Amino acid sequence: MSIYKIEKFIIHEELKESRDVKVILEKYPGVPFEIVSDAAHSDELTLKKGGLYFKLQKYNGQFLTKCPGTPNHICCGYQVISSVMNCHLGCSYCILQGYYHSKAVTINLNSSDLLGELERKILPYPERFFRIGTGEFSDSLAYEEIYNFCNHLVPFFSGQSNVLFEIKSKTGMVNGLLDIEHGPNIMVSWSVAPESIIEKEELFTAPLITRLKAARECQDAGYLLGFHFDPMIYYPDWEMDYKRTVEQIFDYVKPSKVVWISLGAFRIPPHFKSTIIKNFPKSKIVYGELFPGLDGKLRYLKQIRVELFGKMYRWLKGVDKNLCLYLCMESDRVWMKSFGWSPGYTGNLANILDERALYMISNNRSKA
Amino acid sequence: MKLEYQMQRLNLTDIDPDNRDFDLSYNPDLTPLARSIKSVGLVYPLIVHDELTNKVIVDGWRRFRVLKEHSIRAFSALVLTRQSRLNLLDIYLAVNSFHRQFNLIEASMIFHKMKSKYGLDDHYIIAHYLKYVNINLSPESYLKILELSHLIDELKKGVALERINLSNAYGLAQLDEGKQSLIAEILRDLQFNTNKLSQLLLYLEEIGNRDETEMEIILDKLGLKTILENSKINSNEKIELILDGLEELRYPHYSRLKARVKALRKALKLPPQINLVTPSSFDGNSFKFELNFNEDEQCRRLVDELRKAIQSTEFERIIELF
Repeated sequence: MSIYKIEKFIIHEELKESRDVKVILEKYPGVPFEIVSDAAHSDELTLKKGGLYFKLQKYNGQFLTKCPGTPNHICCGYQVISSVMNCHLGCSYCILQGYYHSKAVTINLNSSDLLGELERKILPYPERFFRIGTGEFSDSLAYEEIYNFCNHLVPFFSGQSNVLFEIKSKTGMVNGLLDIEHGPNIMVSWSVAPESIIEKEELFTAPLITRLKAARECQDAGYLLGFHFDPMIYYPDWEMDYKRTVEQIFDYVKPSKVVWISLGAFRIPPHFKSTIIKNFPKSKIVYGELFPGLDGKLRYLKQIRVELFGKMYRWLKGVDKNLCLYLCMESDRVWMKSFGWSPGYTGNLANILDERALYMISNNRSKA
Repeated sequence: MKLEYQMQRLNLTDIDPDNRDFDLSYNPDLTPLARSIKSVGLVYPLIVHDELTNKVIVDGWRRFRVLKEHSIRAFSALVLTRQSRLNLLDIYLAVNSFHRQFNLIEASMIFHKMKSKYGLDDHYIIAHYLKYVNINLSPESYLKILELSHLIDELKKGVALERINLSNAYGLAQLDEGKQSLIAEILRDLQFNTNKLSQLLLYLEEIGNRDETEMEIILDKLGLKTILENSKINSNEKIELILDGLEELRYPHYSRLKARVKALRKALKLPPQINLVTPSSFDGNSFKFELNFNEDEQCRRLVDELRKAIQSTEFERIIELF
């Protein structure tokens, strides 16, 4: 069942005869559409009464790019696919509000170009390992009912033994995934937070339990799993709530199926504070103790981050000491103070995560 | 517009003191005007509108106040008849803009009146009146100027006298009258500079939003009354106490850390010629020592002191905090 109302499709004229567009329009016969010569510039569109505009366009840029990371911090060396851009899930902290001023969701329908680019960028390098995901510029699953990218990407990546493909979501919309034949290297992840945070800061996302039930279904269907506590929010009851969230996760899934769990604290570029206040006047997250960090972004005071990460580390390792945990965009010093060790630099964290992915894929393969 | 008027000798009682439709001049200091009227009399007659039962001042509210204050009962006035309110506003603007620019508070009051009393829309006001009121105003600034009309009188006065800068004035105009009065009370006693006033407003706004607390309660928690009444400290010290107290409420962890570092620095007993520079906001790992000396011997002594300091547990604890 759809979790949003589709107001209109804006279709790039190059795609008006495409089979994919016809399939979409047939699927939504009552939804009006408009053919435009330049879908990229129809930015005057706004979200109306909860309805969404979708731009169906041919993307001419690079689909696969490196996650930009952030200066002076240790990053994970991840690569992201821009298949869908923008998101309606209404998370107060989401940086996409700053990236996309239009509230229309763009679906880059030229999936054959996408697959061609992936072939060119991956096939010639069998000696290299790639961690790739679709959840950076949108939610990986929220718009699959309109166009099922997973139907293209999961089979493609399942054939690549040097890739871990991560589908990242805050929804429970996994039905489309459960029927797809897939390899041992496909991972479905959820961004997780305590229910109180989900209610206040992630307005149109699925409740935690829905996400965890979906995770269990994916686990049972043979997918690897991941969880991202990012951004963690610091507030008076955070400790009780996050500890409970950790317990809830493992009420639903087996630690042995979890490739990794990442932790990241709320962080924003300074100018973004006013955007959050304007778009989410009831949110209080900008009133945390945020200060400019080494990369100029506003972050919680280091001591607060260390407290958040250090306690989460203990709770998670208390569940299973073999869980792989990492910090997203943090400094060597924060790693040391929170986890008691540090990868030291970006390349090393990337190596550690590659090794972990290979180990988990190999385990998953042997169990298949 | 056809003007029908005649010069008349009027009495103070001919004027309707409650009709302040054109009481739009905002220059709170009446002293120079009073001095002039007392020494040479009323040079420029008032302009009033004849409304049958009494007369409404169109131009000359400040002069009227001085006349009243000094019990000068009879005065000359140009009496207009049969004019619409909007015509009268145009006359007011024409007479005043002839010899001066309206200040921003006056501009805000004029625009507010045009909108609320005469139903003119923003586009019309911008097109016909903006530059007339103040040549320096841009269409982009119009809405912000309009907001200044929400300021209470005491704060309007602060803006007109340039004690409150525009950006802070806009911030203040967003507050309700009760909150504006609280700030006005603080500003009555203390002269905050622009940065400190904006810091004060930001702290109060953010603490209020975070804790869903009224400004009055925050100021009580801060002990504002005690600070203001403390006769042992000067104004600058009071301002610092207020801002430090608010910083503590807004950033409790940060304030505690700052206090710990301050105490540890004190215990380090570094001479004033040695300065330990720590990463800002407790993030980062780049520390620096700065040494100030005049001659080599002094430098050697400082280095010895530095060596001693860096071997102390206090130094270790400072580093540990970052």
